[in-house]
Amino acid sequence: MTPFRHTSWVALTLCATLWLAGCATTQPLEPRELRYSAPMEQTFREAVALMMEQGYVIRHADLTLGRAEASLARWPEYRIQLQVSDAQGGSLVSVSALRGSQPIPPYVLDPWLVELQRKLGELP
Amino acid sequence: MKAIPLSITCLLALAGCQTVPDRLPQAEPAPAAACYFPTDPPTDQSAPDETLSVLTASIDVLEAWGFSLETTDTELGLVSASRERELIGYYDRYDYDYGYGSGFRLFGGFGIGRGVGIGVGGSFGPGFGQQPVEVERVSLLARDGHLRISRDIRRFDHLGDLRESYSASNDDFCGRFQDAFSSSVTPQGAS
Repeated sequence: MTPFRHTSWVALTLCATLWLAGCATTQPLEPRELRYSAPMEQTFREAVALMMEQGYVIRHADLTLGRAEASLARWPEYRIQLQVSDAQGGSLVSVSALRGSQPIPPYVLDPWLVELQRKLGELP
Repeated sequence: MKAIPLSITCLLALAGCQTVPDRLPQAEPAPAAACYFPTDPPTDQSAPDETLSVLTASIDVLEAWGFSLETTDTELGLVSASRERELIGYYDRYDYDYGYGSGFRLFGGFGIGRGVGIGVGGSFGPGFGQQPVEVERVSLLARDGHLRISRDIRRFDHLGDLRESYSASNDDFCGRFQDAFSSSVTPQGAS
């Protein structure tokens, strides 16, 4: 085997490893948070209604826990996890989403949080 | 030099793995207008009672249609249910790799080193002989005298792999639900 062929085989193997590694890495599920001045109960109800308006099917929701999970049947299936908790003089919404088994980067969730703000009539 | 095209290919391949939408996707097409309708009885009663009677009537309709309940929250006004049915003779029209009902998968390896080695193995999937199924999920939200429905359908092949999934909050289902719901509510209100 000539040195050049040897080098190209090494490069090819390295590339293949990197390629597969790029697919396999799992980032931690990172939530996006936003504070609202509406009380926790109202915020939670609006958030659940908003998800349903967008076609998400609610898999689980509990008002007392302030927790909901919804999924959208678009390949490779999107899932949202919602947590609403009491904060001083308002509520704190923490939302995270998965695309298939990969977490969606948090900045993608910003338009959704703003839409919730609009529904609550809190847009600046 | 061959390294440059190779590294470009690698970069492209990695970029392919990382594609994300720029915002959270929504159902397309959006849920039909029929999936949001007023629940008929006039709102003389106090709000929790009305939500409860709407939920009871909806659960009756869903159970009559063969759905089983998954989760409910009466305080929130939410019902979530699903039903499953077996698909006879189903195959994915876009991906007919193995043929219906074969349940056989082939995997193998190919190694190049000092010599050449070829390995082939076969396996019968765990779901051999299992019927493909269609799972339909529905969630209902009763709120402010209105009922909102969202629904989706997923189809799994005989190996239990997801083959098709789409959001199905359509006019047909919501219209039928609305009819069944109003006919189950009216007799109680009239008597």
